[in-house]
Amino acid sequence: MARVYNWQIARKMSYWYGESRPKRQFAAVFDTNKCIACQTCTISCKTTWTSGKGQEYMFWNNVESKPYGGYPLSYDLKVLDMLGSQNWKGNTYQGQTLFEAAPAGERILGYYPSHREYSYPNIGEDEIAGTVDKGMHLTLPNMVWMFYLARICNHCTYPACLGACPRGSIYKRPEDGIVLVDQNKCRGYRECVKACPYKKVFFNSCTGTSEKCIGCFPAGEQGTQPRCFTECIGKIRLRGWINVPSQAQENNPIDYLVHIEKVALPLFPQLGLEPNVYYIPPIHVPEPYLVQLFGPGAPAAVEKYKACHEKNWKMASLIQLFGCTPHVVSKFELEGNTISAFNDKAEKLVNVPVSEPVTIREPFDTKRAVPRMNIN
Amino acid sequence: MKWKIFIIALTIGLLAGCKDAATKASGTTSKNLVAAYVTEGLADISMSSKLWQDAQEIKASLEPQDIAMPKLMQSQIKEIRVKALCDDKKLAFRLEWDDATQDTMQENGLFSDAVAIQLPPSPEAELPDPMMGQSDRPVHIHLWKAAYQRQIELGDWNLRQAHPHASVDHYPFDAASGESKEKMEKQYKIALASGNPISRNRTSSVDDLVANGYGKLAFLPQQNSMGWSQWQQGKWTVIISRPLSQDSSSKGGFKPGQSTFVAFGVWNGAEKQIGSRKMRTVWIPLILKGKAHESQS
Ligand code: SF4
Ligand code: SF4
Repeated sequence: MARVYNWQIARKMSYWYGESRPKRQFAAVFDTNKCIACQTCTISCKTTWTSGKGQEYMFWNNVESKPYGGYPLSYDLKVLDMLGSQNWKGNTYQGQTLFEAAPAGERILGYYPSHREYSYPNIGEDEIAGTVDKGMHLTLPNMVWMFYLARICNHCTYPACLGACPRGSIYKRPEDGIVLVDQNKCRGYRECVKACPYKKVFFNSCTGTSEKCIGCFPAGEQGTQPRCFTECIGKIRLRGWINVPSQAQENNPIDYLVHIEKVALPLFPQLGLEPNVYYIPPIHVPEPYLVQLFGPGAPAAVEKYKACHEKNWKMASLIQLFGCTPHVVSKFELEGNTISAFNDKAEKLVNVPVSEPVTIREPFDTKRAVPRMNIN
Repeated sequence: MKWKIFIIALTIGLLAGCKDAATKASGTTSKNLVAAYVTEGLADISMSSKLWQDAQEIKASLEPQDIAMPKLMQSQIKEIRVKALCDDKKLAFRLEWDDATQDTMQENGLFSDAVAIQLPPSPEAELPDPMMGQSDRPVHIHLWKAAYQRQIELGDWNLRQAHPHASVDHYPFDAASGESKEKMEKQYKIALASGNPISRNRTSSVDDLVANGYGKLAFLPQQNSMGWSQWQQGKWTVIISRPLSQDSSSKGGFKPGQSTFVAFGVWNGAEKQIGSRKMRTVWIPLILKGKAHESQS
């Protein structure tokens, strides 16, 4: 095993291959606070990529209700349980990653989900953690809560799927860091299915090979965001590029939210894969749960996000930009009340007004001396 | 004098130990598998063919593959029993091993039982590493899978084979017809569209493969081997028959009367064994009897 640096756990760790970052890394921010679980993303992916034989059960994109939902069933609980209790000291992870916890003879600690575990893609939908008792009232965080977690492949910097394949059939594209299964080389051993803790590689029984989210790379090559991004009703997603923390650019929207404001966090950073989909955590969920999912930065991220409309207009404005352009956003710029997005060629993609003019219609029309019935 | 006797005894002891170590290192065993020569009946050999009665059976012990990652640390299946036959064109093996469950499905979390034969490309070749060969010395592998056999028996894959009550409202290619439907359906089988033979429509339950090291298994350009199988009362019996010569140019391959080596691999689907998670034998000397030996076999 090689030693590589994983900035999400602020330390070096063991990985099957040496550190070799792509020229550019695909990255995204999902604002969980805005997701309405409409599943438009799920269906847009399904109809684009997985409507063939052997793909019936596959959801390269899925949206699960936390805490009870998970596809495949309880994948997150299973992985955390296998890994056992681990510790963070500040922002440094002191526990074992999945690579470091690999049992004898294995490259990575993992498990194969069974047939059955794929049979309930939206189990736990809208179920709240706990019961609503008499006298309960709304507080932040909520006493009983749930939230929607939209998931795709994280196109990890240290992909477990890639590290586990004994044939080297999985590769990370140097031009965009997208992780792909070479369909010509795969022999369906399913080591990747076992290894990926996010369970984002799927075995196709019809073709006998494993398949996964391709980050809509053909769209990306044309400068377009993936299908599940452009179709998102809640405008929760933004696709761009991420740099390592030392090279973070303030005008790069992903760098800004992840590295500078630290308001968007990786999912299960403790597993050691350096995943590249970043989540703005939900503001109404108790801290311990958020820390387990998004690492020790979660409480501060929640506070920043809650206060951004008053204290950080730039961040608040950038969040308005999500879902306003189908194109990949490399840079953004805020001028007055307008936030603009730019592509790789520095061409302007869109101008978005941050706040709309507000008109207050009084309940009584003094000119006509009549009350207004509908003032909304 | 006493010292001399002691030293001689020690030397004999060490030499015996060395021989053991040498066997292990070269990965061979001295037990011979003799392929009896037959003049007819091999072209359409079956499980119940009387020819097998005259072939001599050897038992080979199976060791877990615990060298390359991912490894197999333990397994329930310990032994394989093998018989072999040849004629002027073909070489056939009858493989038998105990397996309490018949695992024929390759679905999520379900793995297929399988068996494989490994041979050097020709008897003249320097003996390759018994574990998948090496860069300059490839091995030929003939892999039979219960799932491949099932595919032949059930025909084209469909969801209802595994989930009898499942329903699919629509596949995009359903709307097309004839040739364009076929073309469109292929586009949705990405591995097939990319030319991966693993996804092809099967006419044989055996894949003919070549490897020159771990993780380097690839399809041979020609697929010639055939397989038949039966699982009964906790026992698999599989026949794999291949042409003596793998390619039509008849470069390489074997001739009756030659000696070579053979190794076997077994996978137990119930224990989720696949790829390098397998049981294997060392190289076993294989003697192909020729016409001259016919009467003795
Ligand atoms: S389309 Fe957007 S809002 Fe709807 S479920 Fe998907 S991520 Fe959530
Ligand atoms: S999320 Fe899973 S499938 Fe995607 S790159 Fe990471 S390990 Fe591989």
